[in-house]
Amino acid sequence: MSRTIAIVEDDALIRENYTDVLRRQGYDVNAYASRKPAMDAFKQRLPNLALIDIGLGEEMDGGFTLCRDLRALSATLPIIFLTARDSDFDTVAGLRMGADDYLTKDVSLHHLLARISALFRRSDLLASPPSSDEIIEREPLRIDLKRFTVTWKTQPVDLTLTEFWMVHALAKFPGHVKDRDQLMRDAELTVDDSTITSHIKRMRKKFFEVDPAFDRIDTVYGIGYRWKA
Amino acid sequence: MKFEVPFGIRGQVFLVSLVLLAIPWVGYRYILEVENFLRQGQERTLSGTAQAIATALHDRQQLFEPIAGSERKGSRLLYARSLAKPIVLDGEDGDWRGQNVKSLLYQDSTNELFSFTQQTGKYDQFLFFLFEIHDPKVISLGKANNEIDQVDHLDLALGRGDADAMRFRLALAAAPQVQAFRILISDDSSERLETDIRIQAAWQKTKSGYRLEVRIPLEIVGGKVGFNVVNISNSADFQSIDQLGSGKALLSVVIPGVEIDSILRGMGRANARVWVVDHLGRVLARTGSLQTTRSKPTAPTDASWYKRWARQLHDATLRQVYVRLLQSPSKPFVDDLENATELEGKAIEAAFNGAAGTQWRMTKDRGAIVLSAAQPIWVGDRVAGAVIAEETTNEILALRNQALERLFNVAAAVILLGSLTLLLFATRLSKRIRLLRDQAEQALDSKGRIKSLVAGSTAKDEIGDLSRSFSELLRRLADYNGYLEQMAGRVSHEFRTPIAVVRSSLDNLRQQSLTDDATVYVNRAQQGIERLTVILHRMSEATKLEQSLQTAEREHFNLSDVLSGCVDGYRGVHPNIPIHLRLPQTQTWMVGAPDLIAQMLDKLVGNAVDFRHDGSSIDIRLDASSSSAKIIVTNEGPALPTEMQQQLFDSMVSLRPPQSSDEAHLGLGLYIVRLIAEFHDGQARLENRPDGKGVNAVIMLARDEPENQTP
Repeated sequence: MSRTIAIVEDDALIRENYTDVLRRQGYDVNAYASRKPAMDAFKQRLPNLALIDIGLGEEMDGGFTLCRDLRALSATLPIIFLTARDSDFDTVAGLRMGADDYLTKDVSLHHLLARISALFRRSDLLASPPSSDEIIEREPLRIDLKRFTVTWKTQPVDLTLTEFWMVHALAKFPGHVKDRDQLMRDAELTVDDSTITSHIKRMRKKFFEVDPAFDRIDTVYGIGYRWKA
Repeated sequence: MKFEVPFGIRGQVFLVSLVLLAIPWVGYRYILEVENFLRQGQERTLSGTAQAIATALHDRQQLFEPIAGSERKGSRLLYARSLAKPIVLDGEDGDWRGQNVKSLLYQDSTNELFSFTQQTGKYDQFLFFLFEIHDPKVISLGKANNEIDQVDHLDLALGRGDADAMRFRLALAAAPQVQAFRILISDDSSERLETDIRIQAAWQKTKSGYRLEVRIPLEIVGGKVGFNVVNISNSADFQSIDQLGSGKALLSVVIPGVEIDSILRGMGRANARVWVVDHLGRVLARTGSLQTTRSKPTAPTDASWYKRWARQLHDATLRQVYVRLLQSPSKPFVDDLENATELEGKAIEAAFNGAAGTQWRMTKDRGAIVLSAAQPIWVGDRVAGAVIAEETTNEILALRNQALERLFNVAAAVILLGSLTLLLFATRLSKRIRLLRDQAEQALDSKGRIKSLVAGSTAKDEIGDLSRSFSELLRRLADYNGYLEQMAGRVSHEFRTPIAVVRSSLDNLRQQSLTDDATVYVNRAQQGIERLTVILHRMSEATKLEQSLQTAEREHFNLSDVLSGCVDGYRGVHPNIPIHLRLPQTQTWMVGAPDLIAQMLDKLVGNAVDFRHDGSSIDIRLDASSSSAKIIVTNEGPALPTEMQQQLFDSMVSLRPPQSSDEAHLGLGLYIVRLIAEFHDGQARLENRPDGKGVNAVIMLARDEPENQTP
């Protein structure tokens, strides 16, 4: 059974392009130009994944509203924000709305597809038992590459996919300094330095929530970051 | 910067206030006009007075019938006043006093011992003479001297002319008797004395000599009188005879009619002198005097102290100026016509020609200006005489001076007050304008950014208006500046969607089966879009930084560590460039965002790398004090144009030559540096090195209190 992806995007050209790409990948794609018809459709039948733009026509923050409503319908539905907005504020707001990832529109389709398949994989494998070869253990950190989950001292840390890849990149070789370019590559992001910095900050915060004494992500000023062993 | 205006508003207003000086000038002109007017009025009044008197005297032949006198002009005159009271012939002068008869002095400059004064008057039908003779030794008729010629005596001559005069001799007898003789001349020219009782006389001895009173009936006075006092001095072996008087020539006796006097007295005016002259200009009557006693205004003593003080001040300062400047009428002057017996002048000549005339003349001592108005007196169709009224202009002068003083006082007060007011006003005005200027200057801070708006003045005048316009202008400028600074962010945002269209289209294309040629072009398009993406990232970097600064968290960190870490990184990135770092001995802790500091350092070192001369090093130094930390990044390289040094920290200002590198430079690097420095309550500046060989980027960061420096 093919998976259904809902695209909510007000720009017709982008919508068509994404629709074409995703269809070619074998997904069922339902494209919506604005929040109202999208929401109506979601109430009828939930898609397997939603790709939402924040600004929807007249509604500047229509995407946020839609995300919140959608999250209310389903707690596990993967939601990706795909937007022209790249400010920290919007990123934080989007992720707080319950989105699983936040991508700017200049992300390449290749990356986008990778994210989508990763999210599908994660939701597929959430229930199945982990296999050891796909688990990286850096006590007390535990990274499940199949489910894209991270636990710290056995407690799950709720990371987005981007953050997951960054933690993975750092923790794979503890003590090695990863500069920003490497992190960007590993997280499959094309973003600038300050975005990396804010991602790192957010990651630290999420670990703090689990363990206030967390201090493993170390800043090497001027170079990058490393995972303290 | 402060400009000292060489010719400020105050100076200008001061110059303008010089217009006030026109007030005293105009006032002065006005008062002169009024004075002129008053003089004309005085002229008319005086002329009127003269005319009134002349009218009273018209056609009264008998008044001008010469009782005596020659028709020849210029003959010597003896002016005999009509006496108000009778004279008793007793040798005493009591009855002469108060009769206002002028006394004429006769003296011989060679003989001081002998002189006399003489008074003449007319009463009823007699002519009276009073002689006061100064004579140390009086010799009168007595036992020792019975010769008429050998005693002090008076020779008189009466007659119509010099030739046919009757001659008389009055010799002193026992006081008060005087023996009067007529001198008759015989055919053989010898003199013969004959007692004549028509002439009566009396004498008395006085302290300095003797006094002689003589009464002559008018009918024997032919019109001319001559008198000579003969003084006999006896010494042991020498007898001298001194003679003093009118000499051989006779004096014309002028006896004004009583009626003229009474008319004059009735019509005379205070402060005016009125003359009546006959057709030869000889004075027939006179009344009044030019000299008036003007009571000096006395300062009231009951005035309050400040009035007294003000008056004293006024007397000490302004009054002195006035006394010097203004012709003062109060000082006495010498009236050279006081005792005149004949008058002449333009005015009188005009009167003799039958017309009214006026004349202004200055007294000889220039003490006063006298106005004369003459009117002819007609007897039939002949001018029998003239009335001359005289008045000094002192009254008007005094009035004018008073007016001028008052005017100058008021003008001085007005000028002083006016100038002061204007000066105060100008001072306030210029102060407000300077305040506005200062505010306007401060509105743009040293970096050329609009820091704060000029406080809108609530004044309702033009300055307030200017202030408000300035505020509005600055506000718009600030808006525009803000718009420009956000421009980059907006542009990148707006570009992102079309770029996404192109990118996704390319990705779609790539998934089709393409020919090799097509793949090449797709790849190129892909590269182009990648570069465009990088540019967009850079453009939005500053905007994103501004946003993140608002939410950035401050932490306690070691600045030294950040610097050494960063420098290690730079050495790794640029292995061929010597990068020197000098840190203070102690660790430098501060509160802030270390990531931002690192970002700032990236930009500075990036600039230093780009602008340095090949082969030169980059020096980074940290100086720390208790309140601040100073980071200096130095490179050798081209100097900065001085006027650009601060602008470089603004958004989208760059010194890089266009297309100097493959990377996009949007002039946002130093703007980011500034934002970060300001986030740390610091400032950033670029300066040329003192040796001129390079550029220092100096970042001042505020540190917290010393007790927080170490954890």
